[in-house]
Amino acid sequence: MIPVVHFALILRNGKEGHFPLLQKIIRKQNYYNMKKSNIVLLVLIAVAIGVIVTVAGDFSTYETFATARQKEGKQFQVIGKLDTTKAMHYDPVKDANLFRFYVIDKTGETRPVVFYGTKPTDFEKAESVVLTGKMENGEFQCSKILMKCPSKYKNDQVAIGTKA
Amino acid sequence: MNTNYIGEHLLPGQLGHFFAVLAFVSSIVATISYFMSVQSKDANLQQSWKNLARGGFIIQAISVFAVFSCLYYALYNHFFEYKYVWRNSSRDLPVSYLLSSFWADQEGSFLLWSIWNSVLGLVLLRTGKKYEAPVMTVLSLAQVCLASMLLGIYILGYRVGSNPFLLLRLAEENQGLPWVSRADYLNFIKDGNGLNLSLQNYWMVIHPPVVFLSFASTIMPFAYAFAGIWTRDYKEWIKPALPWSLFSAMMLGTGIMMGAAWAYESLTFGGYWSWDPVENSSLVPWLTLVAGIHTLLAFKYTGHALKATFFFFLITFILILYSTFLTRSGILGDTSVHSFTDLGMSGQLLIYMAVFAIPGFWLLIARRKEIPSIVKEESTYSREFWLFIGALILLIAAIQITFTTSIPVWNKLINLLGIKSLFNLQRDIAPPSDGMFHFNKIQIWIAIVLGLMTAVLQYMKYKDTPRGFFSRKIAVPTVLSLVITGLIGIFGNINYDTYGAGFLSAIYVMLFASVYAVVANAAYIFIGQKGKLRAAGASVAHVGFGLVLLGILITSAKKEVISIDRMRMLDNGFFGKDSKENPRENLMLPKNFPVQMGDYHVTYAGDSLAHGDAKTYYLVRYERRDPKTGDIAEKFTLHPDAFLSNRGEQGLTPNPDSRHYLTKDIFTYITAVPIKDESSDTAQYTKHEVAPGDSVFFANGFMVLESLLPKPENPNYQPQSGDLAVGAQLKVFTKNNEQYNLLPVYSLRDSSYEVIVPDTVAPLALFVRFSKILPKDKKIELQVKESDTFKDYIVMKALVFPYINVLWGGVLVMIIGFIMSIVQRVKANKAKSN
Repeated sequence: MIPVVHFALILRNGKEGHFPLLQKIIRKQNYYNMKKSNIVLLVLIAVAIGVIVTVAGDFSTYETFATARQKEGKQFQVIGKLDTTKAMHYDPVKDANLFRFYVIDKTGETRPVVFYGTKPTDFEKAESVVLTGKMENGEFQCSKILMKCPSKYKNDQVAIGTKA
Repeated sequence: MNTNYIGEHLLPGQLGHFFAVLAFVSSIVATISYFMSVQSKDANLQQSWKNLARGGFIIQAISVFAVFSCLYYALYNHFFEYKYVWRNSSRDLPVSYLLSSFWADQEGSFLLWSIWNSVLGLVLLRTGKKYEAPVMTVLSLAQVCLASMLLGIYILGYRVGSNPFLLLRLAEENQGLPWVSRADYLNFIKDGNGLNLSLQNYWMVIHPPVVFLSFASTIMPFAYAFAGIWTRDYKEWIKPALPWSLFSAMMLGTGIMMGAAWAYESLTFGGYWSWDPVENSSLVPWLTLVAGIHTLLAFKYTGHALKATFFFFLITFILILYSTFLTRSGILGDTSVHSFTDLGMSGQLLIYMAVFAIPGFWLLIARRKEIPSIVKEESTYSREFWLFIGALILLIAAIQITFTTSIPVWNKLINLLGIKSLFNLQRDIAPPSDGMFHFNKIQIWIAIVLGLMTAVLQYMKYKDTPRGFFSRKIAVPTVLSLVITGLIGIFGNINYDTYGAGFLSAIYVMLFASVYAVVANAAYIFIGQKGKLRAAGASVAHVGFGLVLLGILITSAKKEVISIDRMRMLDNGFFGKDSKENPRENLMLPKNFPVQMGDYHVTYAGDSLAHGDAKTYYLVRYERRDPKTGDIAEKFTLHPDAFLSNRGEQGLTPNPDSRHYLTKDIFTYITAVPIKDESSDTAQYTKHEVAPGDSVFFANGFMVLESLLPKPENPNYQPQSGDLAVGAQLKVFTKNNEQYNLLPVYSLRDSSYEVIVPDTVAPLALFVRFSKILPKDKKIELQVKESDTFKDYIVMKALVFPYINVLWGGVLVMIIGFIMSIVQRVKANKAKSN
């Protein structure tokens, strides 16, 4: 950061001719009583924008199984819901880190999903799931599951007994 | 339709709602009167407006406390006719968790916020002096907004707020249901829905009051800054504002770290921080508040950076409101694991934000030219210049965190503004798939810069630092830090290579930066302040901050999962390309079978229940042997526990247990347990015809029929008058020389039908039924089953957090530093005013 500030100061105070256009702009700024802290401010805003643009590259989009199938082996986030017509399988005695189930994505495509971990609590009740992982041999290998429950903190149905 | 409902207690609700409305109205009166008091020129008029305003505020404070009492009364007495009580509590809930129920939901937590605001207001009535009127105008306005959240009244077709005293039968979702029209409906509602299991925790009792006090207190720097601009008193306001902003930063920091400690101690997020949106959105205002405190100091001593101070104090409170919006509007549903669901108040929350943001920033912009500033530039060798830079670095951190945390908001905006169709975007933006690294790789650099600045800045002087002075004083701490960093680097074995060598080198730089921050600030107490501890609040707080950075760095880089399932890894290829992504972090422990885990042999020794406690406790024995002699070097038992069902439904809600050492924690929690019922069992019974004295063999041993008992006592069998019951007394011998007794029962009821009560040996997964009497052969028929799925085991995860105490210790030191500074500043203010 310090070299950047230094550079800005050279631009402002340095001899004519090194960076004519930039110097012209900065001298013009100087006319409005530009202070060092203002220059620093500008530089840091530039840094902030740079940082944001770079890390925005990490952002992804919610995809479907079809996209994941086309680019096998690449990480995707897929939104879908549990296919309740097919059986879930988790047997810790055989393997405590293997959980298999089926998910229907937004387009209606059903795929087997493998999760290398335990079965999350209340998995059956999830309204929808966000799977992070990749497609391999027609199977979605998922490293993270985020569940959206109908009501995150409560279940709002009043259960009424038949007998007093 | 006028049904006279039986058994309802309507008085607390009516009183509560009356006081909620009264709080709303009287806070409006207080706001307007304080506003008029500030605006009026005549001193008498000012005073009479102020008196009216005080009355209004005191009435609103009393009303808020009354609402609190009414709701607590309803909760305490289990009045399930109120939806809030029904939704958040149940009869079996221990009284100590009633407060958790109180603020488990949106209405209760708004009420808590409102209470703290009232307390702060009452303090201001006594201490505000000439700032009372402008500051209290802002505070009263906040009370208007908060009170409106509890109204539950329809205005022009819109529901304003949500009434915590709404009756269950009047709730929207229950309209038209048959039970609603029954006068005796309360006879059927025996119990409430109950509190979410993960909130039944002592942290839930203490964490929210601290957090909401901190939220409430962020209005103080805002209100003082606003008062400063509003009354054109641009300089003086900072004196009372400084201790308040220190208090606010201390509380907010404490609240955030208490949340982290909760997550670490009793939730199973696998750590204390996961860059979850809910965590982020409360960290961001802390960053801007701390930035504001530093620019305020720069202004106080040099006259620079006043505008920045205004900006930071204003934005902090707006960011608190933004965080409230994020966590309460339901917008984070897809990205956070712990936010509220929508209560239909998103619009109201946005208005709340606008009510403070628009006047605040509008005034700041409109009067920017009036705000005094110094024409002469700061020297690069001055403390104020670098304080300003540091504040901007904090701002960058805040912007980056907010930008990513707000992804759901960007999606809403993109959809709303039609940009999506404009650019033909198909899908919503999703947060980064590796969220932790996304934040860490940016924030580590920010932490490095902040650590370095924290270290050196106290050694610089305001206005200008003599050149020799700085290098002479800083030399010793610098060398010392380099040595310590080198030692940690050599002996600490830091080799976090998950993200490559670049990130590892960043870790080493941050190691130096945080050590430097600790050492240099500790040294400054002696070098700079000559050991005068009373004035060393800032240094102490900075030492704490350095320790926090160091603790975060070490625990994150050296956190290790020790419950790796290596058996299966070998199957699929230990060195396979998936071994890093699928680390197989859960380990199955069969009962009484020691399993190697890290340095330990771990044995699951059974579970137990405690009376009056809905949780099941698991005994996990750890044993470490000396590798040379084979002697047991260390032995301890952990008791991770779990709720196995919630209201009769299966589901595991685990709580971890940790072994604390000074230098590390071993952290264990249950991730799966077998479902102990017969229906999931596929094994078949085999028939055996036996006479007394005969034996029956099974996989793990044999059993002997000792005798037939005429009046059997089996806990699962309840004798009735027409019963003709016989029990088969069995003795079970296992291969491990264990013995068990079994008494299955056969009974002929009223000479007409058979009642068969089986018996089991749970640890062996052995079931025995006494199914028939064969009088001819003088034998009986036994049916024996050994289940293959019904075995007792647990699946658990265990982690080692090294030096987590550096983090918690750092937090404590930081809090102490803040308290020292507050005391010092309050004293200085008092000394000046006398």
